[in-house]
Amino acid sequence: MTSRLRVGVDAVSARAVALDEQDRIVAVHRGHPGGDSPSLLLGALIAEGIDAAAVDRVVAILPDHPVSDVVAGARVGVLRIGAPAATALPPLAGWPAQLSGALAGPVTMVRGGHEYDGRESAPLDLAAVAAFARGCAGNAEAVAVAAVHGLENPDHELRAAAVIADELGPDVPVIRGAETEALGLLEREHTAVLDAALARSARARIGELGAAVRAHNPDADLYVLRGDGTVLPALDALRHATASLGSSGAALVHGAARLAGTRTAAVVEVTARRAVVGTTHAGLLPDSGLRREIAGVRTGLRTPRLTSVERSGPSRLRAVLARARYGFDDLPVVIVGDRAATLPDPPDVRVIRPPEADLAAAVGAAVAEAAGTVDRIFWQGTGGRGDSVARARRLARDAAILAGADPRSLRESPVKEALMTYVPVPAARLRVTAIGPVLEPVTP
Amino acid sequence: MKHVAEAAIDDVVRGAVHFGSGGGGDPYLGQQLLTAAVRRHGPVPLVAADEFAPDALVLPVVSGGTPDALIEKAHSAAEAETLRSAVEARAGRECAAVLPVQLGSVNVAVALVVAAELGLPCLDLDLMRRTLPSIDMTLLRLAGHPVPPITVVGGAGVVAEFSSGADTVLGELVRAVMPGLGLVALISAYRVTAGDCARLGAAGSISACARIGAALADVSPARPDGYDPYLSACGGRLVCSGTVAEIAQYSADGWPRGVVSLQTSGGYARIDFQNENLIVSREGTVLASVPDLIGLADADTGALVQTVDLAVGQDVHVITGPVDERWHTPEGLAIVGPRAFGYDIDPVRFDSRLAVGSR
Repeated sequence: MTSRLRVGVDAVSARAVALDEQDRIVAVHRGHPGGDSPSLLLGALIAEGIDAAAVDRVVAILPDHPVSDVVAGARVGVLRIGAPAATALPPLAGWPAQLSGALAGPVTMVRGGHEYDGRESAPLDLAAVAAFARGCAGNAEAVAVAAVHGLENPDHELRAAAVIADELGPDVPVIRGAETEALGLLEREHTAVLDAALARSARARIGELGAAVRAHNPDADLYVLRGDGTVLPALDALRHATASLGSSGAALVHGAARLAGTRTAAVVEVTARRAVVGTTHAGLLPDSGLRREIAGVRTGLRTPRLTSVERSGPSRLRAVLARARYGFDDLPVVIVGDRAATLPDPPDVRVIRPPEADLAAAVGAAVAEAAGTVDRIFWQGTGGRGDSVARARRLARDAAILAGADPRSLRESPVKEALMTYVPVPAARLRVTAIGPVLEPVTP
Repeated sequence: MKHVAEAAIDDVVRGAVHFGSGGGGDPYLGQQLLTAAVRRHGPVPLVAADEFAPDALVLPVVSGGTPDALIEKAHSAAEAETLRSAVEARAGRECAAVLPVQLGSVNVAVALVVAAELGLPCLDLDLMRRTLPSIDMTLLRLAGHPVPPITVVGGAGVVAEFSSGADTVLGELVRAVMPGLGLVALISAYRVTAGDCARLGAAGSISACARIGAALADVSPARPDGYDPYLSACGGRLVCSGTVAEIAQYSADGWPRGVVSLQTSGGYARIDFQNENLIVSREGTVLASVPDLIGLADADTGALVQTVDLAVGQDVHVITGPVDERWHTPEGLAIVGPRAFGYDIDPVRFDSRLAVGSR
């Protein structure tokens, strides 16, 4: 009986690894950065002599889409639900003009939306939605729909998306703002528009890789790595190209710790240009509190805290490293990167320099877990704080399970609570993440 | 500054964050709102109060509500016109210019947006010279000017007016109607003329935002002296640097009260905040307090951040900045001193000799 295998494909640094059930590396392929596609790397890894039938899943790190992909992307129809609210700022009105000019199809605001406590602000104007959908025919290859307080109540988004999908057919992706867990109508709308613009190139990239995986083993699952280093099922990745931005940096932190034989560490990647410091605590990267920007447009995507230090500042690197370990005196430091040897051991710290550190990101992909995060305003009018905290935790667990996590072994971050300012109301912003290993398929 | 054109927006909004003292809303929405308005209506003229006849009526404007609600449900394009019509109908004459009520990223942007939408100039001054949480906390009221009449306009065309009453009661009443309006409203208060503004003399507010915002853009966060451009532009001081260890909030007496704990090289520093940062202390010693500004800059980016958006493990610099001297008078402190916010301490102006943990 051969061990089941998990494959990590790092298309950024052109590395692929296969791990067995004990996380031991059983096969490696080193390709040519910048030239080798994920499917090529996968094929070369399997050609190293592993049993393709034993591969349970493939997790891929895809290169970040360049801005030119967005500009050359699909023409996007944009529907905002919630008028008259937010009409002082129409969709895309504050974007870099070159970008909005390149991708904007029909842009419309219609009546509807909800309030912070889930009340309907106005009934959804279905006639206007239908007119917008007809206007998109032939003028948009993808559509983004975002509603005011759509996280609190996604009903109007869902109904509008159904009307649009009926009108335009299955070949036009309709991306909803509430598919991104982020506070802020603009942030969700922007993410949906960018995902819609990139849907075609995402389909091409993931379609090619998916075909390669199926050719090797039709039963293997394909995941794409998210920007926080957790997995995104391939079917979701088709609709959320932006979700995988920055994934190679996050994967490197997870993978470097794993190569060092730990789940909790400060990781330093040293290259010719700079050093990057990150930490992982039991598989979770701390959140930077910042939202990712793409081509000058703010998205709803959270970014993990990775601090970049120019090579000219060794004293600053020491300071950054000290801060990363502040309060965690036994946190080991894992040093990787092609110039790792140029960084002397920090004093009074357990330092690990794992072998084969160039595989760190690929290993980080292969061992990646599935997570779900909730970050929204919960109204506490009926069941009080206890109910809303319970609801937030359940939503996070549900999201993690949908992303592929094993429901039997989920862990949770503490619930972060922020009260509403300036007007005292029984509502609070709650943030919680559930994370766990990917559910293994049942083996006969 | 003669006008706010698109090229100046980033500086103006970035600088307005300085006056938010850790509150006042995230700058991104303000930047987007103002960009959209300037693209649609052209640059917004900035004017001084003495450019008008002394009895010319001006339109004080403030965005009321909760920043987290506003980023979901921004203002409607019709609110500005509804507000102006209500104010002009009651006054019996036309408004000559828009008057920002407070400085903060949302409220500087919204005042300029309203001016753009109404085709009016915007006065280069404001009534608070910082962000404060209640519409009755202004230099105008400090000068004896009554707060009413207050006009509150909601997104769906709702207009509520409070024509007379005690100032602090009216502040409570405005907050009381906010939930029904979805926590977002455009508000005007005070009956103000250009002559009132000229006498008040809190001039150059928007220009100051632009100047400080440009200096903030010049910050080099990695260098020990990297904050000097910003500090000299705002007259500020670096109080301490540290890592966010904990953010705790609890709701007492209706206001959310919070405490940020910072690990610094000189022990724990503590920031007490409600809507804005109010007190920074270390080991029981108050280093700086309201009414002075207490801001937090992210050590990695150099950008000023909202206190409610802090993440544990984030490295920040605590920076204090001066406010209008009138807030430091006994009468001013009665409205916005530490005790007005429920803290039983005397106000403290930062003494540079107490700086700790600066790298």
